[in-house]
Amino acid sequence: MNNLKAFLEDLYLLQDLDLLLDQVKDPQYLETFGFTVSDDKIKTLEEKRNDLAKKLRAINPRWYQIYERLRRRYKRGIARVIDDICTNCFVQLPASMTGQNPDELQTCPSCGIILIWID
Amino acid sequence: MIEKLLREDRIILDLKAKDKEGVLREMISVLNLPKDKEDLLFNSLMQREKLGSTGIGKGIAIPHCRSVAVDNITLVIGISKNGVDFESLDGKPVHLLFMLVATPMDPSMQYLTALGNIARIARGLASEESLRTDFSSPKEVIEYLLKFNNE
Repeated sequence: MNNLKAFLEDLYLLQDLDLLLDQVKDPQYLETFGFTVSDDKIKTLEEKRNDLAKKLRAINPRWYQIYERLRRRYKRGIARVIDDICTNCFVQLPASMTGQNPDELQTCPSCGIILIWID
Repeated sequence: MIEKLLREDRIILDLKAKDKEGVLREMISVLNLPKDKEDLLFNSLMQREKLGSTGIGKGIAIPHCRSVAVDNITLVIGISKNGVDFESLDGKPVHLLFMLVATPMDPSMQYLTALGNIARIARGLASEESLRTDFSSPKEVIEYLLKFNNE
C-alpha cells in the first residue's frame, strides 16, 4: 500500500472521532457531568467523520471494512502495542512481530485488532 | 481512584498561557511526550472543545478525551492565577483545570469513574465562596482537592 503511514494516521484520527462521538451521544456522560453539546456541532463532527471514512474507503476498501467490523465488535478498530502486548486483548505478541511493517497493516493474532506501534 | 491519578509532577501551580490552546499545550507538555504524540493529544482535546467547552463555570474546566497518545489514564492539574478565557458556560475566566486523558481501551471504566470523581470535586469547589489559587506546592493542591473528594 502506498503511504501506509498517512493511511494509519488517518485511521487513528477516525477512531478518535468515533470514540468522541460515542462519548458525547452517551446520555450517562452528559447527565453525570452536566456538559452541554449542541446537536448542530455533533452533526458537523459526524460529517467530518464521514468525509474521512469516505477517503479511507477510497484508498483501501479492505482495510476500511476491517476497521468497521472491528469497531462493531470492540467499539474500536485499532490498538497500540506497548511492550509487545496488544492493548486490546492484552495478549503478548509473537516475537516475529517486532514493529510497524512499512508495507502492510498488521493485526493481532489473538483478537484481530489493527495494531499500531507509536514510540 | 482519583488519589492515584493526582501526581505532584503533573500539577502546574502557575500557568503562563493566556488562551485555551496555549493552556492545553502547556498542560500537555508536562507529560513529556514526543512531538507527534503531543499533537495527537492536542488535536483530540481541541476536537472535544469544539463540540462545546468543558469550562463548566465557577472558574473550573475539565478538558478530557481518549487518545492513543497515552499509555495509561492520566490527569494533569493546571492553576491559572490570572485566569484563562476557556469559553466557559458562565463566560468567566477559568482558574483551575483538570485535564484528563484516557487510552481508547478502558476495560475497567476508569475514565468515567475518574470523570465522576473530578465532577464531585468540582461541585465542592464551586460551593466555596471563592476558588483558591494561592498554593505553595503541588502537595498542598492535592491535599486541598482530596478534601472535596472525601466530603
